[in-house]
Amino acid sequence: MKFKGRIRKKIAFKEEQKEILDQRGYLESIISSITDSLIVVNPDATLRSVNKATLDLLGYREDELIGQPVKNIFLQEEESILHKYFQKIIDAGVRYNIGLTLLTKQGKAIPVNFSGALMQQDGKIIGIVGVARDIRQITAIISDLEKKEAELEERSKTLTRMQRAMLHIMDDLDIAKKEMHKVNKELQTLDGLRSDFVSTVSHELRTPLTTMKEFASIILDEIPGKLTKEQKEYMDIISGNIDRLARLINNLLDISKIESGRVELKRALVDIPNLANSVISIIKPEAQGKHIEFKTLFPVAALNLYADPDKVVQVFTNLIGNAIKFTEENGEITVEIKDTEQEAICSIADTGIGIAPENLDKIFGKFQQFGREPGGGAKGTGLGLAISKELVEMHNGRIWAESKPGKGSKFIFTLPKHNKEYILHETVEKRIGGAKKENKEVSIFIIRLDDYLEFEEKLEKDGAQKVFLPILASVEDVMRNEDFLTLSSKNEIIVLAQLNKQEASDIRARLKRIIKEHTFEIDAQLEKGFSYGYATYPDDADNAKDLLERAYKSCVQEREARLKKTIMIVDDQPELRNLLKKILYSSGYSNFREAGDGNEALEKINTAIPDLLILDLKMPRMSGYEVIGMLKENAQTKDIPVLIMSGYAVEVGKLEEYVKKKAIPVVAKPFNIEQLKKLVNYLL
Amino acid sequence: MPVRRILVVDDEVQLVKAIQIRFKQADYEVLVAYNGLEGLEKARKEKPDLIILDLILPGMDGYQVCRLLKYDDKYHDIPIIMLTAMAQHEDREWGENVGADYYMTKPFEHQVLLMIS
Repeated sequence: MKFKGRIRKKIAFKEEQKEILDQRGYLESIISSITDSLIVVNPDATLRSVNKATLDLLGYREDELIGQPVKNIFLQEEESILHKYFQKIIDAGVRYNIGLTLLTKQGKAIPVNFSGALMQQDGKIIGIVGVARDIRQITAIISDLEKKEAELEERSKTLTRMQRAMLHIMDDLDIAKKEMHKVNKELQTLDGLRSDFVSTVSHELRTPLTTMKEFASIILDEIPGKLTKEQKEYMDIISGNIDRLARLINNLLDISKIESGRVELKRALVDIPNLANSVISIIKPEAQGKHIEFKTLFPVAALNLYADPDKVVQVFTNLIGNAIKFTEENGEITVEIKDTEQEAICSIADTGIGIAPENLDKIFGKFQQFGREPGGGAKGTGLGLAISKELVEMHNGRIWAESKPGKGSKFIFTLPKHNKEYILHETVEKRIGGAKKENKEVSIFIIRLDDYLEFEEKLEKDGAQKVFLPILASVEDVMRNEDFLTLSSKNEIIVLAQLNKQEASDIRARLKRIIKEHTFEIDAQLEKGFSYGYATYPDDADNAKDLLERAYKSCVQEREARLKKTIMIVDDQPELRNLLKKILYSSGYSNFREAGDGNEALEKINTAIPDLLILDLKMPRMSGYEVIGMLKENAQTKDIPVLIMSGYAVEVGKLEEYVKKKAIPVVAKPFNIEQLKKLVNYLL
Repeated sequence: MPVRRILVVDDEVQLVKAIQIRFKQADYEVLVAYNGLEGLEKARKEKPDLIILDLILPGMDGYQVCRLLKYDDKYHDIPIIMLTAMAQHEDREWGENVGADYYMTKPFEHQVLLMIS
C-alpha cells in the first residue's frame, strides 16, 4: 500500500507543519505582547527586528527601522557608548544593564534601561538581542527626590543658622541675667547700707541728744544750784530745741523706713475709739495751756477692725497735735469716729486758722509747712502729715483735709474694715513676694483649736486666751532663730516663716509636742481639739490662695487621722475592756481592738500594729511585763506607745514624772478617768 | 526708807553721770558699769534692786546680759529696764524675748524712769 503510506506521511507532515506554525504564532504573540521594547541587532549593527512595543514607543513603522543602523534609534551622542557596549557583549559575552537614550521618530529623547545579550546559533554569533525599559517615571521620581533632598539640605542649613543665632541670644540673655544679678546685689547692698546708715545715724544722733537732754533737765530742776530768771529762760530754750531735734530725727527715721519699705503693718484686732482716747488723754496736757476744749463723738458700740495699733496711734497723735498747734486760745477740737459697713471714718476738726484751698493737697507733701508763725511756738518738721499719709495708705485708707481759712480745719482719714481672710491673704502674699525675690521658701503653719466653742463654754471667760498665750510664747520660742511672723485670732495661730519643707516638718513636730505638754496641764480634752497643718511655697503651691488652702486642708487631715488611731486594749476582764472602750469613745476614739491575754495580744499585734497599747499587768499565763518584753525585742513593735494598768498602788506624782522622763506610764487600778484620758491623748 | 540700789550699765560715761545725778536726788544708791561683762559681774555680786541696761555695749551686749541674768534663778527677779537709742519694733520684741521687764528708748523722760523704779 504505498499510496496509504504516502498519504499518512502527508498528513503527518501537515500536522507537523501546523504544530510548528502554532509554536511560532505562540512565540510571536509573546514578543508582540511584552511592553518593554525588544530589538535584535545584526552583527553589522543594523536592526534585524523590533517588537511592537518598540514601534509604539518610537513611532516608527517596521519597514522604516529594519535594516537601518541601530545607532539611529539612539541619541547621537551615545553612539560610542553603544558601540563599546555591543563590543563588550560580543567579546566577553557579558550581560549587563546600561542607561541609554532612545530617540523617537519625532526626535524626543526617552531614557531607557537597556540590557543586551549575545545570540548564538550553531556556534556562530548571529546578533545581539536587547531589551530597553522606559525609565522616565523612575527618572522623574529620582529627580523629584533629588530636588527634595536639596530642599532639605537648604532647610537644615537654615535651621543650623537659626540655632546658632538662638545660642547667641541665649548667651546674651545669660550675660544680661548676670548683669541683673549684679545690679540686684548692688541694690541690696545699698539698701542694706541705707538701713544700716539709718539705724547707725539714728543711734549716733540720739546718744549725744540724750545726754544733753538729761543734763539740761538736771540744771532746770536746779539740782546743781538755783538759777537766775535769765538762766532759766535760756536753759528752757536749749531744752526746747533739744526736743525739737529729737522729734526731727524720729520723723526722718520714720519716713526713711517707710520709703525703703521696711515698715510692715502688724495688724491686730483693735478698737479704734480706744486708740483715739488713749492719744487724747496723753496729749490733753499740751492743750491745757491754751485752754482748748476737747470733744469726742464716738459710736456707742465697739468699733473693732484689723489695723496696726502703733501706726494708728501715730496718725492720731500727729493730727491731734497739729490741731492743738494751729488752734488759738479757747478753741475747740472735735474728734469724731464714724462706723460704716466698709470702714471707720475718723476726723479731727479744729477751730484754728485754717488752710488756704490751694494748699489743701500740698500739705501732705514732705517738708511742707504752712502758716508758719515766726517767734515762739512749737514748730513742726513738715514731715508729720507726710508720714500720716503713708501710714493711712498702708492700711488701704484715704486721708484728706477740708478747711475754711479763719474758721478751722478738718482732717479726715478712713480705715477699711478688712476681714481676717483678707488680712491673712495680704500678709501671705507679701511673704511669698519677698521669698520669690530672694529665691527662698516660705512655710505656713496653722495651729487650730477646732472645738473652740465647746471650750469657750468650759473654760472661763478669756480662758481660751489663757490657752493661746502660752502657746504663742512657745511658738515664738521654737521659732526664735527664724524669720517669722504670727497672726492670731481667737481660735487659731498662723505662723509664717522662711523655712523649707523639711525644716517645716521638724518644727511642726516640735510645736505639736510643746503644745501637748501645755494643754496636758489644762484639760485632757483640750489637746484633742487641736489640729496642725502646714504647707510650703513653692513646693505645695505658688500663690497665697492655694498655699493657704493646702495648709488648711492638711489641718483637717490631721484631725481625722488622729481619730482613726487604733487602740489595743489587753485585759483579762471583759467588763474592764468595755469600760475602757466607753471612756475612750467619749474622747473621740473609735478604733478598738481587744485581747484577753498576752498571747492573743501578741498575735493580734503581729497582724496589725496598733497606735497605742493599753495593757493590764496581771494576766493569766503571760503577764503584762512579758508582753512588753516581747514587744521591745521586735524592731517593728518596740516603739508602740504603751499604757500600763496596774493593780499595785502607784502615786499620782509618778504620772508627772513620766511626762518628764518619758518612761512607760502606769495607771493604777482603780483609775482616775480624767487621768486616763489625759494620758491617752498625750500618748497619741 | 530702805536705801534702794540700782545698777546702770551703759558705755556713755556722761549719760551714766546724768542718770546717777537723777537717782541720787531720789535717794538711790547708784552702781555703774561701762560694759556688758562688768555689768554682769556687778549684778551678780551686788544684787541690785533694779538694773538699767543699755543695748549697745562693748563686748557682751545688753541682750546677753539680760538673758544671762533672767535665765538664772538667783537673779531672775531683779527687774531690768532696757534703755536704748535703737527704736525698731524688732528690738522691742527681742527685749521682751530675753525677759526684759521694760523697754525704753532714748531720749527718755527721766520722770518715767523714776516712776518705773
